[in-house]
Amino acid sequence: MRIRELNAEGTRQFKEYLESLAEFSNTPIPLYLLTDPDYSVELEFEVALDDREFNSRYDMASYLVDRMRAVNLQDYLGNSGFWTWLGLYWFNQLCPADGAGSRTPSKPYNYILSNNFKHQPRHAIRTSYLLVKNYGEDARFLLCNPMQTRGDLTEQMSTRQFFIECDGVVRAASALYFDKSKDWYKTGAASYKRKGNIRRLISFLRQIELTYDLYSIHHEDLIGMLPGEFDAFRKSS
Amino acid sequence: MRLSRKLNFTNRVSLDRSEIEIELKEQDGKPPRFSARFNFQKVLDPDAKLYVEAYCGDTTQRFDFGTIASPVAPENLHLDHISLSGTILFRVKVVDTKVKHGRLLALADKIRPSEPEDQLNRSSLMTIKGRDLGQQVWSMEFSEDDFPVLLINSKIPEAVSRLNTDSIFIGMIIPHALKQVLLRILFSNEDMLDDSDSWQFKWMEFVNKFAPDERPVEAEDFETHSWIDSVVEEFCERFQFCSRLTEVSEEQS
Repeated sequence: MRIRELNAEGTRQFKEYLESLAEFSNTPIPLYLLTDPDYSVELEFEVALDDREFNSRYDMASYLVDRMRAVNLQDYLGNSGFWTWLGLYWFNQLCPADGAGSRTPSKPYNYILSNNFKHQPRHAIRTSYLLVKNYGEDARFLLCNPMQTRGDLTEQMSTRQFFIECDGVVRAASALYFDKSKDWYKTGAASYKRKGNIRRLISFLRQIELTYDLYSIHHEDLIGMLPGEFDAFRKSS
Repeated sequence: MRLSRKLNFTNRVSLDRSEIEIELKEQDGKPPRFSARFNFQKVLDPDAKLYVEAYCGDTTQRFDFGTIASPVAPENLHLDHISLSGTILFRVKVVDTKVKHGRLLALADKIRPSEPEDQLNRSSLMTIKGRDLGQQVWSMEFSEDDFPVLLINSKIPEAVSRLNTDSIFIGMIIPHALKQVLLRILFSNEDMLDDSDSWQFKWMEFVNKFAPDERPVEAEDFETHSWIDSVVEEFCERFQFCSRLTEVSEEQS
């Protein structure tokens, strides 16, 4: 299907659908909004998406980055209708129905790109796309969860929004916590108790941001600065 | 070991506010745009990188201003990637690129930009700003670190200046703004009163000059509410808000 952009009415109806699920959780996804010219419009560029299932948000975002390779998306990064169209297009995977056909969505801004900058990083498609576009394989540790799951590491890394904008921070965290052989994060990375877990990394980053510019710091320098409690993760990186 | 957030292990230079001038201009229909001028008095590595970061809540937008030796403003100085729903502050960073890449050589944080309206706000305990508030006439904006902001709907002609000159505006808004500030301090930020540099402390200093009674300590909520009401009443008495409003109304009729 060719990618389009939801207009204001299309976005309103999608939002209404999300809200209606609280009471009528079996309501069918309003997929007609994707193609009906009353609710969505064509884009300046022509890119089509295949109907495919993804194992993870990383796979979805890699696919999207690949499909968008020839398009300059800079002007579309703040385009709510564009990202919301994608949120609706993949809604079945982002919020799958249970055995009884019921869906329990997260907050609307996970699917509808909010105008509030505080909520924009929560958008499931846009944030995944930006992470893969900026960090490639090093974004895998944040996005290896199934499509419907945001993941504990992402939650932690997003406690300070700008951490995921810092190249050195993301690549250092990837080196520390991602196990390529398992295509999953290392045991204990998301733990509350294990030494050197991601919460401890966040705590360390908050301390050193007073003496270092986290945007500028290189990931190898950052790993080298970590105290001894990170040794177990550092040695296996 | 828990590191204190106030220690300075790396001899980072603290930049003085007088060395940096940041001005923020609101623009109709566009995100606000800022300009920055630097007049560094301290000796800084000429090759060090210079960054300005605008931030609001936990959203940050970063601008590369080149190096200390030759600062160059980037083309886009619009704040189009941060939340504009709260107080916008700035920080200026001077970053080492030679000895220890990424180390902060100098920093100035929590910089309040000056605005054209600041002439009205100089030495004020409250900043007044115009903003599109939909159908709200005015509202208050609070943060822990910066003075309260009284927002007046920018759709109202000359709204900001009228808050300084129009007795009707003043009488209808200012006493209630005072009440909101006191409620905020005493019910949300009371612990900040221990810090003599805090805006909360400075406000209480001001209020204590005319408060009819001493503030009840460890009081029940209703006693604190009652004290706030008495302060606002005294404030209105001193400035004769109702009489001034009545005079203007009679002149206009």
